[in-house]
Amino acid sequence: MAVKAQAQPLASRQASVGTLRQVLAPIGQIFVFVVGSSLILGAIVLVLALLLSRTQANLLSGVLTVLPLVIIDGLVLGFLYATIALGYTLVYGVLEFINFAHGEIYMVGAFVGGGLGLWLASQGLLAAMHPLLFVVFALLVAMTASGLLAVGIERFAYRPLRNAPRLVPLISAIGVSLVLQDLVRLLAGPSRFNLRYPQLGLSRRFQLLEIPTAAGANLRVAIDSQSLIFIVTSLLMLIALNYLINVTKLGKAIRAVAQDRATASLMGINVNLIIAMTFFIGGALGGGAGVLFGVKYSTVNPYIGFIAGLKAFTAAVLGGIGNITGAMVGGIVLGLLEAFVSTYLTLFTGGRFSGPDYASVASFLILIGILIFRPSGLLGEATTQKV
Amino acid sequence: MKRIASFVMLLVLLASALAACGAATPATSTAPSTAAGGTQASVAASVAAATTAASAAASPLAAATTETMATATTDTTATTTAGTDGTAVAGTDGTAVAEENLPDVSALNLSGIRIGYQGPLSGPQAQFGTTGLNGAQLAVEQLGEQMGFQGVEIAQFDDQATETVGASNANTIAADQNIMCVVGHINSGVALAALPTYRDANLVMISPANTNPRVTEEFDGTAYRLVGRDDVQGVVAADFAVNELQAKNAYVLHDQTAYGEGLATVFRDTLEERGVTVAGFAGTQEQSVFDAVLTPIQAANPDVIFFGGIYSTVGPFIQQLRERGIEATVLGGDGLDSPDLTRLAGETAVGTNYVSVSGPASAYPQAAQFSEDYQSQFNAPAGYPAFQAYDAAKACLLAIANAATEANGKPTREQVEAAMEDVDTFQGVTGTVTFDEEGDRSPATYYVFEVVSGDPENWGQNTVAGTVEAEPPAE
Amino acid sequence: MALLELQNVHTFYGNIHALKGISLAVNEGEIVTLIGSNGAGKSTTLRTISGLLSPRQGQVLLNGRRIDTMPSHEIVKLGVSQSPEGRRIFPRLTVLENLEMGAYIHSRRDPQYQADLERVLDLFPRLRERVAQKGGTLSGGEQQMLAIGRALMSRPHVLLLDEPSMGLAPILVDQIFSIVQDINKQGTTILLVEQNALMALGIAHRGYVLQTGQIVLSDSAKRLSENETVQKAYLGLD
Repeated sequence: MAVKAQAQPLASRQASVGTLRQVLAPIGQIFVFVVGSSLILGAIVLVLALLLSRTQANLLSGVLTVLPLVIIDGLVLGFLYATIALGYTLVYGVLEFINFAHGEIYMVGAFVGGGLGLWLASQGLLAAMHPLLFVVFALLVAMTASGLLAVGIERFAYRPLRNAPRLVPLISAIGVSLVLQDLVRLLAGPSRFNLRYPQLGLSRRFQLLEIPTAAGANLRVAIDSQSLIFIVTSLLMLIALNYLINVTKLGKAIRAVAQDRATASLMGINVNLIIAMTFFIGGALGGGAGVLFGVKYSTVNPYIGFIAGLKAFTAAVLGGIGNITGAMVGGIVLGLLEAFVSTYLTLFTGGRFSGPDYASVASFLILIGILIFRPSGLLGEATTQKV
Repeated sequence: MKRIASFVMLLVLLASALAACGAATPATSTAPSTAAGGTQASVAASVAAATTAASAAASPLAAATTETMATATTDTTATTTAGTDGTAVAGTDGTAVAEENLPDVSALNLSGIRIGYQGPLSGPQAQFGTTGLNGAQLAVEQLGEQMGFQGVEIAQFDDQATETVGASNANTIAADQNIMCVVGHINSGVALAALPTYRDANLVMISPANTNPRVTEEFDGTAYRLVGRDDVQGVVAADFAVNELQAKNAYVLHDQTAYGEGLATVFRDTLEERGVTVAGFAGTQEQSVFDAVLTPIQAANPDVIFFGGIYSTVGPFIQQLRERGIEATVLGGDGLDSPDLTRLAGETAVGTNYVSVSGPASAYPQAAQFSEDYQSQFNAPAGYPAFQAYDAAKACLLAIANAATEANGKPTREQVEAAMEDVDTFQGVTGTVTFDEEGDRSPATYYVFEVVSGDPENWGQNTVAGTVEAEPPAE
Repeated sequence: MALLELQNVHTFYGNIHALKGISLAVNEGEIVTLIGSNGAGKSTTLRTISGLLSPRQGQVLLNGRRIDTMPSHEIVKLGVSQSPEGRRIFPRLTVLENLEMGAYIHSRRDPQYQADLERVLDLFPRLRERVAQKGGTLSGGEQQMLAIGRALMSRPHVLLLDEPSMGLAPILVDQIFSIVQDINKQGTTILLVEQNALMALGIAHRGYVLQTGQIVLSDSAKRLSENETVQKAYLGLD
């Protein structure tokens, strides 16, 4: 009896401490990276400004003025990449397979949300809805749709190729990606190529600072509620995913399948079902990111998945592919980096080089650099860390 | 060490590639501006001359009244000389175009003649492309019959607003020997890519919407246009910014296409001449996420933002601009002239100004019948570039008919090309159309609009803030 | 009727004929051992039973019911679990999580689950000390214990053990085999595959000798250990 009593509190005590730590630790890591990257990038930019301010007047003040705005831009972009990256990393962790169609799954989610908005508006139901309610509703519908789409793709485009050489399912994934782009384009029709999300009147702006500028008026640094919704929802998704993977039985089964597929089936785990569930979860996260994108940037088109997917995949690798927190961290670092390059390159070169064009170049250069010096990624371990 | 070395080598390689690109880009982007710069003085002079001739108002851009426009059109009609045989000048009282003397080729039993059409029929700019197609379609149906053709049809091609697709389609068009003439393109960049093929095939291209000067300058005898040019449009926009908007500080953007960059460059150069600060000049291919572009704008705090681009890009841009609380007035070119701008930007589009090379329906009294026919056939109001495409198709038909008459049978493309050069003037739904030796419309009219409603259905109600009539700049 | 039976099972790896008509039976409550040298087909036999491989010919019967066409996760639900060759514990899951995975087919809220957990930790006190440690950090012997314990978590009728002595020091082997006997006494039928014929025959009731995919000898464990051929080939006795 005494022995039994020992094991129970031991097990449950372990569980609750572990749970709390596992679920919340990633938030801490993310915070560290946000602050750290902002500081490092800000410092680099300031140093450059100081060096170059001999040739350009007002450069330093210009640089400083825009800094808070750039950081906010970077964070929003970063969370977008981070949320999409979660889908990539989850699937890679389980199958060691890069689902190149994931970007399009995200795009489909965006269209489903937008289509839902159109339909609700046509039924006259949209006006009566609280905007946040619409967002939640759209998220649920789009996440389900994207999840199911991902499962379907796995079933028909990847599973038959599971024993083929690695390159074959990869090519299949690229094919699926192209098919989805044009399928959505076809279904949306020329009049809805650019699909506009319903205007929810969410644009409340929360002012953070006011900075005096050389141009005269004060620069109001504010974050709008769409961006906040974006960031908060992404964080919630991360926490939920962490809980799922580390605490629930399903999550452990996913990790077991990721570590040793044959032995997992010896445990009574239906491996094909678990893989399908993994795709569902990954797809749902992507679809959710799509809706959030539509809510924030108001217009979606069939090609938003391509570049966003590529960048998010870069983010996942940057953070350590297979590592969930790594995906988020990678996304945020990448987003901040792109925002800094986009704005400051234009500023430093006086407009000769258009920043936004070279932002992608910078991201991929950093990717190459990280892979050369630290191939496992920012949060990865020496051996491929899986889910 | 090895890793560092290889990384450094990679960086050096990329840096040198960048430098090479950097050296190249300014050259190409300054080309239009130097050309524009050279002609700016003459444009300004001709603009001034035309408008003082047209109206008694001191400011070249007096607030629009029907009076101003009526005066302009009356003047033009008065100075028009009789055109090619059989196209006597008709009245300007809104009578249907059919009453004029069109050539009749029914005796020649011409069948199987096709007119090619290229424009974006799918994708973000589909609204422009399909509107143009509809206009051309209507022309071919109505005028083809009236002129006695045994069935003329449009051979439509979707260039997806993409250079490579347009050029590839041009090959297909050139191969089809039944195609005698081309109506298109909508995007200047795509036209420039396709024109070498048309020229080599002796195919005449008449554009309802290309405004970049290079289209006619570099393809003499092949390219014609029904609309004005960017080296005037940009000046008109700049003058509007200075005189009406009282801009002291402007930020200029473009979408990195031949059209957008060309127009933005003219605008910027003109502003600088007028002594206005240009706080920034940036190009972007971004279509959805404009944060990186908006942040520097927010910091620069301009009075006016000019965007040389198409509605599909500028719509979302305006939405995000306003969401950031930036209140500067937005100004653009004819690329914004589409109800889809408000479909994409909604209420935020209200107050946007744009210069267009196409006027409001009221500017085309001869188009009353056309507008009616268009509405009943396509279930949408006629807009830009439908009027222009109709006239472009008409020009094609006239040239083909005249060439056929001379050849006494089905003409060759060379004969159509030659006949087109002789089509000096004719009456179109956009008024009297006169081509100069370059193939430009001379004179052409430019309108400055303001968006009044967030509802795309009300696009036709946009108010005209000013009208300018001008000859294309002399070389 | 035997609890577990193989009838003329032929299993192939691609074109390689690994099992050439294996027939064997395991009765309720027994410890049956399958001995043979490397490459004889011992692990292949267990994999076939567990459903990781499908026989091209022949049948596998559990309580008279065919299981050779069922997927492996279904077979576990019927009460057949395996401690695989090479232990194959999940390296990045903790000991507790590994055991949880063993009990996958049962709900965690099942009160029996706690009892099962207790039983396993009682059988392997070393594991109790390391409950929160990641599986990959355990020693070889501990991993073997974990593998067996994990297999027990599903409350199997038949426990398949694939070479539990592999790579372990003799004293650990003794320990583990003694525990295996305890498990059997607690009511679990065991099919034990081993290269260490001495130890295996020491605890088994009956045995089969497998050679290049075929059963060559079948007898009680005692008689097998006295068999001259077996002694020379597998027991190292002259």
